[in-house]
Amino acid sequence: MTDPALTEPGLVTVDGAWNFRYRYFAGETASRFFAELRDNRRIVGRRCPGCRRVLVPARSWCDRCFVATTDWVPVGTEGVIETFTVLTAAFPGLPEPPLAIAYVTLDGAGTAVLNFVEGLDLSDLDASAARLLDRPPVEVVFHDDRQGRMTDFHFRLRA
Amino acid sequence: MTLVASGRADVVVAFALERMGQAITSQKVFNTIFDPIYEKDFALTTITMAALRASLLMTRYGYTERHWAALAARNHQNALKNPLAHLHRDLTVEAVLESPLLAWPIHLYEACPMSEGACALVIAAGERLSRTGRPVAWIHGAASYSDSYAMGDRFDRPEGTLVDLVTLRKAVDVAYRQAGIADPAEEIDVVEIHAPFSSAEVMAYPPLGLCSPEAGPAYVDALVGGDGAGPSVNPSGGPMAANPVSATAMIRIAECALQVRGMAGGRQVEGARRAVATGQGGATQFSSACVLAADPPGDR
Repeated sequence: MTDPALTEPGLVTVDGAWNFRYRYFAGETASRFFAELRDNRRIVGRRCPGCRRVLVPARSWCDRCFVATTDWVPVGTEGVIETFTVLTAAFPGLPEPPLAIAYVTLDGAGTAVLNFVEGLDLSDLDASAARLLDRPPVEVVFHDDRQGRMTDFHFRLRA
Repeated sequence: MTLVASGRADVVVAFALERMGQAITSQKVFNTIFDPIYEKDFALTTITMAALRASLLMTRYGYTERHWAALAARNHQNALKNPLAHLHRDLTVEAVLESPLLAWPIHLYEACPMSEGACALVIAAGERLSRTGRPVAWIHGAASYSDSYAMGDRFDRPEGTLVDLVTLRKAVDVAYRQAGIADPAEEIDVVEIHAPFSSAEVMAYPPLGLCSPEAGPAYVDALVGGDGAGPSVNPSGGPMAANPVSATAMIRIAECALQVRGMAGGRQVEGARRAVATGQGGATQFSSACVLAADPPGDR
């Protein structure tokens, strides 16, 4: 997506590439969230003692109330789409399009979780978009081979 | 600004510089601003981040794909009068709608380009420069606020949703109060909005006092139809025609300064006396607002 106006003919460019490996520390709360997902096919959140919201995915801290969350609360595997987009263009380093992503508030949760929405006919984009704009109900589909990652599940529209 | 206002400095030069034109995989770089534990796998970029807001605005307030395209075409038309813009594309609404779709509902020509650029401001104590007789822009108000990081935590909360720009509302409220502005639609002549996408632009209208969230689509219709009341919006063409990211917010202030000084050349808004600039950062996480005027504070 480099704009040609930025690289004038005759001026030298030198190719470069950064490839840093990284290891992100998920911390105790997210680690437990992932273990529940992998071992028990459950999506769990943490309740904030201030605003009473159940934060999903689980967070140790409510940055609305500035307090630590207190207890674990399992939430439903059905929910509603808050908003969505369909990635349609290929970008280096990103998953191959087309793919739909959405924030979904699961039953009992006070916040929304991001994941792929599968099972849509993305060859008819206008129809799929029109359907998703109506904030349809969705359900969680757990994968058989779970690794304890967010990619252990996706959403699909409920029949 | 605070260095000068507090008396620690008489004159300050502030500058901002962006070299992102060198990054070929910029969207992969932008992916790293999002939550690496819970969200990095789901193709979040600055484009999909904006698209998630655009579709929410469509569901909630009835915006259409045509609104996004019309605003983009309008901004690009304005940029034709701005020699400092990166892109000078004579675009129609149809051409925008026919450009490739990046992430529904955002088309290529509704997305800001990858720009290089820089901006510098000279900020001085009023008593220093007012003697020179050159036109100056007086800072009447300025404020900045930050919001929660996680986008998913911002759908259901009393402070406002993901498309309510809570931080801009707070920043603008403070800046307007400092500037003594009670009726912005009447008292402001120019607004320069830090909006790399059409959806980001319309999210700024309600906090700026230009219209209610529900009246947004009608406000856009009037704006692109050329019969909009109130201030001139993005006469520079805004970030859709030039977005050197690290400098873009400062450029909004500089554009407002040029306007109230009467030095904006072909994009000058006739009789501009008072202007407001916005700045945005993160996933609509940070906002700033700055009110500038041709007259010094207290002279109104």
